Amino acid sequence: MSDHLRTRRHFIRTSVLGGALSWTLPAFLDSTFGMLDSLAANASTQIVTGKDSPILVVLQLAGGNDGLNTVIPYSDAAYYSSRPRLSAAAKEALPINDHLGFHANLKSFQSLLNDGNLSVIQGVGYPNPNRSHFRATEIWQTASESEQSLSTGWLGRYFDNACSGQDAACGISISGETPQSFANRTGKGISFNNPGDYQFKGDLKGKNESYFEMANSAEDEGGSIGMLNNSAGMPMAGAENPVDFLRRTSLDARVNTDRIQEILKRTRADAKYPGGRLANNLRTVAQLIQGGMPTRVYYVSHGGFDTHNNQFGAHANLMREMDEALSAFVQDLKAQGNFDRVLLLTFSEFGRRVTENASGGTDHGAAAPMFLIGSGIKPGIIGAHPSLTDLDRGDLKHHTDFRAVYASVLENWLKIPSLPILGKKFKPVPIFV
Amino acid sequence: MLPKLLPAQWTPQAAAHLLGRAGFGGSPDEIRKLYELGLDGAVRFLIQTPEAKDWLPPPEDAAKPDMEEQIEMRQNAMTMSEEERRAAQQKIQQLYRERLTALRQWWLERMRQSPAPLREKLTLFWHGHFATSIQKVRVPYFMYAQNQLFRQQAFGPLTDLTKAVSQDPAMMRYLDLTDSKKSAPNENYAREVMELFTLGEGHYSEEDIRESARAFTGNRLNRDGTVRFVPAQHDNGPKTFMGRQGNLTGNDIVDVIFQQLQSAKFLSAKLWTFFAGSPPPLVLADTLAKRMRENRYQLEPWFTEVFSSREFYSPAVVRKQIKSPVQFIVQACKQLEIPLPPPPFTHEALRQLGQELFQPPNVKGWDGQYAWITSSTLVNRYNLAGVLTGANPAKGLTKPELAHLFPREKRGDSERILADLQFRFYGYQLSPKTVQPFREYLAKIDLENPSNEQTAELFHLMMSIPEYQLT
Repeated sequence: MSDHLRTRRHFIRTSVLGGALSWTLPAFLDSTFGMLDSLAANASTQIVTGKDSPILVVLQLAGGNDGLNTVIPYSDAAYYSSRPRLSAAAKEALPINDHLGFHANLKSFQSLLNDGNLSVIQGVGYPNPNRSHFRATEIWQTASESEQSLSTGWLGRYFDNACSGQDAACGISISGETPQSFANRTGKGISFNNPGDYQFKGDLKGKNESYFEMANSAEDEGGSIGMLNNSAGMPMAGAENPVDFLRRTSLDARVNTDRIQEILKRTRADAKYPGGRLANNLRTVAQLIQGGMPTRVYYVSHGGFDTHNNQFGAHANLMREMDEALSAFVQDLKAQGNFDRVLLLTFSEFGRRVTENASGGTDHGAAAPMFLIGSGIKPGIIGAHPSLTDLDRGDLKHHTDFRAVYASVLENWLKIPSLPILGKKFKPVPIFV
Repeated sequence: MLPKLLPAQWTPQAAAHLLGRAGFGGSPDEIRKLYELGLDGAVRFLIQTPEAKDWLPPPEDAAKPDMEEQIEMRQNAMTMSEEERRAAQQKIQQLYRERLTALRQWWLERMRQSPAPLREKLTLFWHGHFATSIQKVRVPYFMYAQNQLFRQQAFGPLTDLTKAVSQDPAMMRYLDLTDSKKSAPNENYAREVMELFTLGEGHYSEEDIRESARAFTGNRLNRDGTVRFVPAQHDNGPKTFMGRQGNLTGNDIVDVIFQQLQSAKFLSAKLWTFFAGSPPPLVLADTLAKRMRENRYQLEPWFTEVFSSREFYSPAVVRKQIKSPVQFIVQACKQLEIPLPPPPFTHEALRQLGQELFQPPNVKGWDGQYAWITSSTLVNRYNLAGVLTGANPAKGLTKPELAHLFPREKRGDSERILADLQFRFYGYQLSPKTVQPFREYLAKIDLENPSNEQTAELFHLMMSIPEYQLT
């Protein structure tokens, strides 16, 4: 076997790009493969592929979920006095301990907790909380300071640091627009609103596919891949000839669209999912996991949490939809045998004001709980419930910085140093056993 | 002077490059017309064509300063029930959405048809530079007014433009100048005006930010969308800013900033990068900054030199820029000689491609170039090309006139057809290897009588390759 071939095989084995590659590779890629492979070998974090790698699923509760009516401090008199109408939810709360209970519609949250597969991180926020959806979401997505504007997201920086040499599929977001948390420097991450969007339509996949393949594989004049390395030794898109970058992305898209469509055809859910968009999206995630995608991070968004008016019924529905969808997702992963590899993390841009407003709703607030679902986590309530009387402009004060939660997830779950990604050292929250 | 492009280097390809960068490209006829003007004539045409007044009037509702609905609601708020108030609020939201949609389409239409395309291109540049988003500004009229400001003062002087932006309602809302006052100066604008708009990071101190924030205090928004100065809210005490002392106002701060050589360096490099595709090499950067200063931040002479320079037509520049989503759509419509798709379609397409007008992702604007392309956005571009060409037809869209793009008299000669189509779609001739699949495709169809579908699919293929993403 020539060195050349061995290099290529080695690449195919170690790289995710080769995972489902069954056709002949365009000749120009040989050199690229060799180069990417040597980069991968030198990278500080080894590329992890296949069935052994941990997976993170991020669930965004968009609009600002009311933490106080999600994890209800039902023994606190201040809760009832601040919320004469909304505190009715306490009556049917599902007890966690003597002070706290889940919203009545979070039945599977309760059983996950009892099984040791759920933890509630209390009082999460950041200094100088921003109460605009737009800006607060940006802060959570980019993991910035309250006053700082960053153009890359925390997951994107994870891709840049950990997924060098890999294709775009290291992150998949199923949402209307690419979440800001995915923004990165190396073109990583795939996002689609529904899986049907992520495929080449019509003639490009039909009768003209061979011309399409040929036209996207051709090497134009000066077709060497002139990538330079940045100081960290990672390929830097900016130093590349744009046409080479586009050709590489095109190959990447052709591999991944085929692979994803093929998996979605081949796999079936192993659990009964309820209706609704969230459940559909989580089912897609479960199928992609089952189908062996090398993806490290999945991102799903669930909207409608901006409950300024008549919150009671609307919030109950949101809770039910989330609970039932996650319950099916967990069952599915367990049936697949993949539950141990998956950690699910929820976040919302802010919690809501402690005092209910005159419209039977709540306004934008600050600190709120985050949920973790998985095995290998420290189950139960982590941290004290924030005081309902010692407030900051009417809002709960945080005691745990969300970036400390990110730091734990990065260090203890994704097994990568958090400092290069968060830009600052945060003491990881003890959420893993 | 920068070395000028030699007369022999002024070719139809060079004209296509110029029109793609200084505008949004054009049909082969438009490019030929520009070519026939000669280099000097073409540059003069792009820079000096006056904007015919009101050739495309803005959508009426969006261009009215009145916020009648808001005012009416505020007046009635006391008597309204909770239910009524909510309904009124929803109505306003709905109106605002409709106005925003109309504004977006209006601007795209200007880009597609303007007799002065460089002015529209610059308007787009300033929108990304002084990035301001409807998400925080809320009122479409403010975005419209800012857009007009960018258009009217597109060529500077940049000192005046920056002063105007400091008192622009949309910007005031976006960077919190609307309630910045003597007792609590907000530093948001003061920081960004130096970091992002004029000097770049590291060329000012925290003290400069604090002092200039005081100088920018005191402007308030009127309900009709105008700005008034409230002396009581303005800090008129002595300030020290970049070595200058006095009872400085916001305009004084801008003047001091533009006295720094760094502001010419920063802005000339950013403009070059936007039009050339990548940052200028060091020696060129110095010249560009010097010229900008010599011209007192007035851009017409600066652009004349840049667009006539050999450097602008060098291999490092030509076909090295990744089209922005806006450029992709507008240029494709011009090449296919079709109208813009209807507004819900264009906006959804731009959203999927990653560039929503009036809604940049943050105060830094769009990163551009490589950031436009991900695995998903590339798939979306290829699929969008299928819809625009009519290969994958969609409702409400006008298909290209195939008999015009694929003329009967040339049908016998596949090489001639290919050469024409390459000029149309790329502005130059691809390498033989790249063009091979199209040649093979043509060999498979009945060249004398191709079906509409077959020609549309050929266009789709030609637009679905890496080279097409570049301008």
